[in-house]
Amino acid sequence: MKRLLCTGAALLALSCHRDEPEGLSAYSIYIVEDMAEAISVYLPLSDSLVDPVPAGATPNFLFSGGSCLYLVNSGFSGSPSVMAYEPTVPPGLVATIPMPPGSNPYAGASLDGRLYVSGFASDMLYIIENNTLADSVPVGKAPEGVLAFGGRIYIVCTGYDLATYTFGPGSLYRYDPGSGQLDSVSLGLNPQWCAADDQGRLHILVTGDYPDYGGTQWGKVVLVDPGSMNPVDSVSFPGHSPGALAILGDWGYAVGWDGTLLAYGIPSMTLMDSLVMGQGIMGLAAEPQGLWLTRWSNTDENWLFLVQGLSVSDSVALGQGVGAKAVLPWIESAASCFVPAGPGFTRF
Amino acid sequence: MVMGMFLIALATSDSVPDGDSLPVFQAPEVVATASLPGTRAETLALEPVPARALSHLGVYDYGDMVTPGLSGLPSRHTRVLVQGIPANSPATGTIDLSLLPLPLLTGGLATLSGRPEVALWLPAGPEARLIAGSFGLVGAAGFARPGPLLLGLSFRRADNCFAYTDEFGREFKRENADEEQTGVAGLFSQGDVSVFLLASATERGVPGPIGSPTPFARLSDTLVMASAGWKGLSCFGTRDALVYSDRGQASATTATSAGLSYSGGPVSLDASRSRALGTDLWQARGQVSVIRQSWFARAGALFWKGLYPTGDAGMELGPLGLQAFYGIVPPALNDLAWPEDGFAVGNPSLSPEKMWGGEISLEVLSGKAWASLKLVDDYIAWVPGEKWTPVNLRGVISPEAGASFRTAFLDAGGSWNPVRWQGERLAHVPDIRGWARFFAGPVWFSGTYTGPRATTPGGARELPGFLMLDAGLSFSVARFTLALSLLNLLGETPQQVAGYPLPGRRFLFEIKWR
Repeated sequence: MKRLLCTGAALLALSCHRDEPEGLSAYSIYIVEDMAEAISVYLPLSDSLVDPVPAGATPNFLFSGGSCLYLVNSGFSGSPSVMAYEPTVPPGLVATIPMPPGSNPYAGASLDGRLYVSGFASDMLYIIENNTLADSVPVGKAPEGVLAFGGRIYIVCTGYDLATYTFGPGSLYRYDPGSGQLDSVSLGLNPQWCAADDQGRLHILVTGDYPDYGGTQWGKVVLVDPGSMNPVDSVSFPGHSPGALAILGDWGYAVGWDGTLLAYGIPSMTLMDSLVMGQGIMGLAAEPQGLWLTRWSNTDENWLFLVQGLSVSDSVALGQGVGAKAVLPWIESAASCFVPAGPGFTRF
Repeated sequence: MVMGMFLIALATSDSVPDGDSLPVFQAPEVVATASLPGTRAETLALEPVPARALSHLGVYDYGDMVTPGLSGLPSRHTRVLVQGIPANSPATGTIDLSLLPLPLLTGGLATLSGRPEVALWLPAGPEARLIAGSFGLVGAAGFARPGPLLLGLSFRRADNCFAYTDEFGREFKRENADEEQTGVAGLFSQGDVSVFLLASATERGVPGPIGSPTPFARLSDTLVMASAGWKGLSCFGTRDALVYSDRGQASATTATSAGLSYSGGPVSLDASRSRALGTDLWQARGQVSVIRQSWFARAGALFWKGLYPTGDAGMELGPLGLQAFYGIVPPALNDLAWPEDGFAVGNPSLSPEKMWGGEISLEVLSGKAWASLKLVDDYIAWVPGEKWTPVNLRGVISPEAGASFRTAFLDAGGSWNPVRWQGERLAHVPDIRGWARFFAGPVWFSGTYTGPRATTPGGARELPGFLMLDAGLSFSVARFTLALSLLNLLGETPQQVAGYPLPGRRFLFEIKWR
């Protein structure tokens, strides 16, 4: 019964069709295309796709901070960097911030005017101030997801060993910018992302080590109390190894390359429903209208999907071979601005 | 970094069409197609930097490898022959020229029409050379000719730790780029019998790209190739054992190939067996050729998991040359059988690439102009996904138009070669190139321009075009030649391939005895 109620609530939450809210000054979906090394923009209200603009070397992740978009370029085919753009259509490049060669910057978040960027290959958290790399903090092995929440920075360290190409125990790090204090808690194999829910708890996506390819552990989401840094609950995804996470109201959503969008109820931390979308799903972001997902391909069509009511309500062909990866909705009105921050989202 | 020994030279072709038979070049084992009627080709000659020899054709030494991709096509489309032996690795389909003991190979020929071909061979007589240069380069090579034998030995080493700047102007110095190579060569030739052997051992660091350096990665390669021939019949074999190691982890690949070939009158046949990654692959070819003074036609078939027709034809009408071609490039064993690991997996169901097209050229006085079109169906590309895997892509089109002008003191030219896949640019292939070389007695000066390149297929990011300026001085006294080259005078370190800066300003000094 609980499952039925939760499913019903999920469907209700996502069943609203894409409204066309009045007074919007901006409603843009930014898409990182890693193969094309570009950023594309989809405008839902006019159903139009804007010509892509160049990104840096191996773009990986896009996040928001204040009035800017920040693109994290991992730099496999050149120098890594973080690029700052105005959230215009198309985005306007403001600054390029060089990052240490070989650091493989992965993701980032913004807090109080500073940017915090994970260095997957350097085991560092980089701190950027005034568009300049200002400091770095050693964290756990192979950090990926970064979340700014409650005045602190949370860094999800996968535990991946680049020397042996094996997964070790991962961890969640907490960095207090005020005191410089660093805390951590061990998690399972290959945690990758985190998001915060409305109750102020952290959802850590622990992808596992891909049993489809010889590993032993499927994925799960571990609920962590950000104060004590203790795990308090979890929900498992047997048969799946999701790599992206989003929170929308009382619902958490996880999806991975296998293309199964998994919906779990946050109050019960129970897997409730799923939607098979097809292989290659890479990007996932939530906004009040629903979920935006990207399907990645280097050869065939790349797609952007809008999921409402746990069904696909819109799909946009992004072209061949472009490698649609991270996605970031940006919504502005005269009264408010709404953009996802990191894997989750915040209102400001 | 590789130190090698060939350069497109101004020397006139060594090829001498011989009546109605296939033209035979300096080395009698090398049956080249370069001087067939209507065919565009260039002679290669000895120079201490291998990639510079081919730079105006788009080949650069970017730090680890030198792979000869010509006409905008990947290097697996360029067939490399060493003393007549097919040298493309059956594992990769291509050849890394840096792993060849190039100081022992004095020259060759690049065929540019149809499927590109680079033929290299040993010198005709005894010689010796010493080289020294920037980045710790020292080397020596020598040949002796006792009776019917030609024996050669070479050695070179360098640290290759050049400084470079990245796209943000930050200065770095390359690390883990040292290399050391020893090579031996032997050729016995008497009457109708010839026996050839070439072997090298290369040990070097693998610095990796800027954004992803590999400070502990090492590469060790042992290459052996040999052949024995009697009249038109020959057998050949190659063995390439490559070990890549990084922080205690090592992967080894041994690729072998052995075959028989026969060439008599209008008929040529060859069959070979290749092996790598525990997989065997057979292929056989047969061809009938008709060659006349002003035209030729060749038709045949390739057996590779099936029978594929092949053929080409060309003719000369006064200053006009015409050619049409259809060929097959089979997948390499790595493409087919790469074992599933954490990152990649091969694709055993790949189809071979089919390349066809035509070319027209016009040669008037000292000038030459050409236009060609090459189409590749089932183009093979490794694409990332859940794992990297090779797939057949729909057609790649490589149109090219160019012109060159050559006199005793000037060699200049340019080409427009917009290679496209589904209307999109391929990675690292410039649309335009240009070159100019001036000669004034012992002094020479050259400039090579490479146009902007996309960093990924269809990508929005672009690497800027760059200009390389070189100069040199060469004196000959009796049997000695002294040469000093100043390379990359501008001292810039552009990335011809994203992430791999080219070496900056440097010098080379060479003493050669013949």
